[in-house]
Amino acid sequence: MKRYLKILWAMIKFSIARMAVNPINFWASFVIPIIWQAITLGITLTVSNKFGVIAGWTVKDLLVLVSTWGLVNGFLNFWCFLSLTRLPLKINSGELDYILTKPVNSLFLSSFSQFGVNNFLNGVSWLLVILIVARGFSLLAFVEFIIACLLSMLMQYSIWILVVTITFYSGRLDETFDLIYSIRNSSRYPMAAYNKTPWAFRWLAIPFVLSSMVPAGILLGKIGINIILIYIAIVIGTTIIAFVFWNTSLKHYSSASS
Amino acid sequence: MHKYWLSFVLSVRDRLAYKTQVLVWLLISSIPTIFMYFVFQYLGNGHEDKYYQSYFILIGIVSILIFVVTEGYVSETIESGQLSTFLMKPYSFLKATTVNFLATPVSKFILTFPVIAILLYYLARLGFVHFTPLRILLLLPALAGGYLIAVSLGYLAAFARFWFEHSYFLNDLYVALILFFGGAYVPTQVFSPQLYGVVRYLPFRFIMSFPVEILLGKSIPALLDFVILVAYLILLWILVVQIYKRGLLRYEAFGN
Repeated sequence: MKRYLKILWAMIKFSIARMAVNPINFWASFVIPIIWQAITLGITLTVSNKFGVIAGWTVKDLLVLVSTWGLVNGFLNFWCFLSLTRLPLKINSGELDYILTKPVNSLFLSSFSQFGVNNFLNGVSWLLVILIVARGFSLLAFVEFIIACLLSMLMQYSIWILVVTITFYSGRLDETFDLIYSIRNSSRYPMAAYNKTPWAFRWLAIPFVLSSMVPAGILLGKIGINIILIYIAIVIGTTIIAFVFWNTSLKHYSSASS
Repeated sequence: MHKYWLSFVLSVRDRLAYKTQVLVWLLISSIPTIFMYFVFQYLGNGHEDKYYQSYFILIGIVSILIFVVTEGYVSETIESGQLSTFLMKPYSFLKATTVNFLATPVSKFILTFPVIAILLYYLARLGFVHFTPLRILLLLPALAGGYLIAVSLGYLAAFARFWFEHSYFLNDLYVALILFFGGAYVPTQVFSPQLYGVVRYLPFRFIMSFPVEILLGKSIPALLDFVILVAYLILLWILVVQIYKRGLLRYEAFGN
């Protein structure tokens, strides 16, 4: 465990150093997510001012919901998104060899080799918005909220691993990645708002909608225990499937020299 | 003129050669619009849902036709030194790129024409779109103006590459501004009067929601809107040419 933490810290420092090579891009990379954050909050306020309560969610609830979406995605982008987007290329080119030959778990090294440091601050800024907007919650509710956010990150991470692992069987993945990314970014409303969406699209969005709706619902007291238990079961199931799929698919990997 | 026409035809042929890729990318880029279509259908709740359906269908069609992101190609051309190949020829880089990028919406239109035709028929059935001769006449310059504004903004973002080693953040910034203030995520009619009062004078609206307002609005847009459009076209093109000239003075081709 200590060894993996040391590796993680080394990777974070390397990511910061790599980003800081170009100072303008370095500082801009912190500003641009804040602008997107302002735009996202602006969209939410505009919609809720026009339509009032949406599926039982008030303006304040919707701001907490979209901020939870931002927080989960922000920290996920910090932890593993950059690494996972580069992984299909490494698999196709045979560069995965450099990871597999190391005495470290391959999934760990594949997932956490590059950190989006700017997204860490973005995640923190979304958390600040939640703390400002959702006042009056108990410490227990906040702890449950954090745990639910971590579960959401785990579920989304598992989904990304499932998508990336397909590369072992099929070379073309760019479109699938962008499709999932696009759906993730569109999933910022309560589940009921997607009732008129055809099932072909809705089932793709459900995991991403739940990953912000459940933590926000816990913080605001809008979610019952049965939904929480179902959600935990989904997260555990997705994670197990993702890890098994990855380990099984490694057998299909052929390196560049094979 | 003949050389630009030839270049345009070749670009269209190139893009049509990768039609599967283009169609897949179109579907992916339409996902946010598709989701907003259904979310606003829910929000409209039987009163305004047909209006919002019409809006997002038109936004989807307009973004296929005129929303092009030129920044990536142009900044890559500058960064890699390939700009030199244009500078050595009797061939204006700006004109050539503007004409070549026109191949993108043209090829998308050719590939998606059956879908667009079905959508237009569905729009006519919904009854909110006004397909009158006057509106269609006004629509054409609005589409052309929107395309040129989108291209110009892309150039301005890309030309930062003459001064900065990496300028990708500008691409993210101007796309974010276009998508929000252009009404891609939320209809501009939903904006508060104060916000709409500001958005009306920004160039982003002309890339997306202005052509939609021509077809969907209760009345045709005021003359002032077209004056603002023309003013932006002139201002942005002057800026593009001037910044390009100054950037060329700093340009160092690959191999220098």
